[in-house]
Parts: sequence; structure tokens; C-alpha cells
Amino acid sequence: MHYQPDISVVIQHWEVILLGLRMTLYLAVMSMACALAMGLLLAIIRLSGILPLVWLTDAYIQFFRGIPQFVFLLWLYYGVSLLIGVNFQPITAGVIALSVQYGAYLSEIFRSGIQAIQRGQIEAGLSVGLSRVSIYRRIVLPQACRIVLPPTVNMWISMLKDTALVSVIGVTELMRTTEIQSNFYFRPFEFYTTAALIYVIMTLVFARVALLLERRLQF
Amino acid sequence: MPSVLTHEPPVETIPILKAVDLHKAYGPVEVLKGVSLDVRPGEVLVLIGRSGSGKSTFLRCINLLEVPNRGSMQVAGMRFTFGARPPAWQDMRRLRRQVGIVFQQFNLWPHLTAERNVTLALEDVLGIPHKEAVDRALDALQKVGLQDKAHAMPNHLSGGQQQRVAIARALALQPQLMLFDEVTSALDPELVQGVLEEMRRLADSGMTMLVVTHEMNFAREVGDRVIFMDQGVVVEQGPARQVITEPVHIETRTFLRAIVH
Repeated sequence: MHYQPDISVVIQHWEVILLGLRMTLYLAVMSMACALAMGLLLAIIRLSGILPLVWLTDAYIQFFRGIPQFVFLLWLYYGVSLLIGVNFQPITAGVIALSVQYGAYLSEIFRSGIQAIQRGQIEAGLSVGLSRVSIYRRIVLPQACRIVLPPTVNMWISMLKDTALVSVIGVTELMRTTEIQSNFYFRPFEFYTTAALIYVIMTLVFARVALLLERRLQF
Repeated sequence: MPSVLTHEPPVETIPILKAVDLHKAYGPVEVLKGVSLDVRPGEVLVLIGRSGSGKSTFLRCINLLEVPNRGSMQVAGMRFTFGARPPAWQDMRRLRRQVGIVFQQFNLWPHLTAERNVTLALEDVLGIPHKEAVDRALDALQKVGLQDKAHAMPNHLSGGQQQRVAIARALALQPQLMLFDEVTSALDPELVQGVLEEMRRLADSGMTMLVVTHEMNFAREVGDRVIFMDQGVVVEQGPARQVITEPVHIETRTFLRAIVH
């Protein structure tokens, strides 16, 4: 063993790592926001029973669930951009790739959450003359929220980690920053360990937040 | 109209509910095979019968939670004829504002306080401002003896209390007709009387009620009329005391014997 780990090089460049982390969080937040909106929309359309729309959302979900995230990202950034003649910004391509696929996953979570609401809950709403919108907004969604919270947080955590893939198309998020630094200073062990720890800590923090949220939402 | 009728019938004899030949089938299974009945204002009509006799389905047809396949119905001044097309959604909502229902499983919204369970429809359906809605909700909760539970979540209430909140929720809309679908069947035995007491008070206050129940004492004492249903048809009907103590039909007798002992 000739390799002497030296953590000081990481500490010296913590600001650069922090910038990478900021980009990672930005990517994750943007993608999650889009994915949540998309997932909810898809779930509601799927449950609407309007047949052509149901088939379309079904096809969407099956298709995007089936492609590996990595393949989809490269396909979109290098392939689709050629086809449609649009030069995506790497960040944009990353956000689209993540949100399109996570939208598909989330819509399945939301659908099962909404379907878990007992028929009697909706009937009670109907029986007092509530509109369909009111029933959704006041009765179904608030209760479904509680059901879907844990799996949604899992998706969020998984997405946080998947942002690392976006490094391959040149977005300088945590992973890419780490790669550059470690190549430059030739300290792969220190830098990659740091990156790994940051991902682990983020996961722990968000899991903890989710637990607290879940307790607060209990009724 | 026949010419011998020289004047309109007095208002109180116009039925609040007039169901004519209601049919309901789920696929090949016919649950209602032509049920006709009237309920007059202020009347308490009790439906009895075995499970599967169609009495609950009939009740749920009245506020269109189930839409009959055939027949017609007049409720609180609204007219529905059932056939190929389902009634318009807006008409169904209008009907439900006039007809309250209390379910076997309470169906309170567990994420909302007792008070909010009551105010929700007042605000969202009737458009009553929040403050006034709260006043009305508290008033309704007081009527069922639960004003001190206004801020409780349903899961923190006993089954009996939940059912009384459900009654308050329906009453707050000031319906013309109240439907009760085996409302004590899911309750622990010691909580049954409290809810029946509430219904008795409501009946005494002049509310028109259509009650599906297995509580024969309640049916006899509070009911004005009792209807015995079997296999999707009305087998026997008459004054409550008579149907329950001296039923004419053999099926009614068999049923009553089975339920009393």
C-alpha cells in the first residue's frame, strides 16, 4: 500500500464541491417539481376513464418505465436533439429526462394512492352534493397525500442519486465536479468518498424529514 | 285529471318521495324488480328485510348513489325517469342537496375535524360564508349532543359519536328527506341506543325519514309505516305496529321470527 489518503485536498476545495452540490439539488428540485405535476396529471387522466386518454397515458407510463434512465438521457440529449433540430442545454435535457421518467413512476404511485381511498369517502361527498372537483380537492387528494408520502419520498431520494447520471452530458453537478477535481489532483479516493458521503447524508436527512412529516400528517 | 276532483289535494298529502316501478340490475343479477312506494311529508317509513333483499339498494337509488335502470321517481319536487341515459349530473347534485343520507360505516372524512365534516358542504355546495357555516355546524352538532367535540378528529370519536356527526353533517343541509342505511349495524351494542335516540328525536321534530334497519323495536315505536322487502320486491306494507306484530304474509312472519329470536 503506497497510497496515502490525504483529506486536506478535499477540504481545500470544499467550495467547488459545494457548487456541485448546489447544482445537484437544483436539478433534483426542478425535476421533482415537474415530475410531481406530471405524475398527478397522468394519474388523474388515467383514472378519468376517458378511453383514448387512458390508452395514451398507459402507453406513456409503460414506455418510459421500461427505458433505463441512462439510455433515455443519452437518447434525448444526443439523439432526439438531432431529430427535432433542437440543441438542448445539458441542464434542460437532464431535467426533462428525469422528470419524464419519474413522472411515469410517480403517476403509478399516485394512482394507487387515489384508488386506496374507500368508495364510501367519495359517496359521502356525493351525498351532500359536492362537485367532482370538490370531492377530489377536499376529500380524495388530502387523504391520498398521506398514503403516497412515503413512496414519493423514496422517489425523491432515488432521483437525488440519479442526478449523478446527468454528469455524463456535462452538467457540473456533484458527480461531475468530483470527477474533475479527482482527475486534476489525482485524488480519486478522497473525492469520490466525499461525494458518496454527501449522497448518503442527503438521503438520511430527507428520510428523517419524511418521517417527521408522516407523523404530522397522521389523523 | 278526473273531473270529480274539484280541488287540489292538501299540500301535506303530496308525497315527498314517489317511486314508481324502480328496477336495478347488476349485470344479470336483478336486485330491484319493480319497487313502488310513496313517502309523505313527516312520515317515518321503515324498510325491513333480509340482507340481499334490495332494501339498501332501493335506499341508495333515492339519492342516486345507484341509478335505477328503469322506472321513475319524484323527489322533493324533482322528477326523474330512468332509461338509457343517466340523469344529468347537475340534477343529481340538486337532488342530493334535498336528500340526506347516513351510512352504515359513517363515512366521515377522517382528515377533517367533526366541525369541518359538517361545514364542507355548507361552504362548497351552498356557498355559505365560513363564519356562518361554522355557526350552522355547531348548531347541528349541538342538536346531536356533540358541540364539545367540534374540533375532534373522527378517529378520536366513538362509533356512536361518529355516526351522530354523520347525522349532523346531513342535517346541516336542511334536507327534505333523510335516508338511514342500517346506521346502527356497525356500532358496538352499547352505542346503538344513543344513535336510535337521535333518530327518534329527529322523527319527533317532523323530519321525513326512510329508514333501513334491523332494529324492530325502533321500527315499531318510531315508524309510521313498515315495508317488508324480499328478493327485490315489496312483499308487505302497512302501519308499523301491524306489520311487525301481526304480519299477513308468510315470508314476513318467517323473517320476523328469525330476527326476534
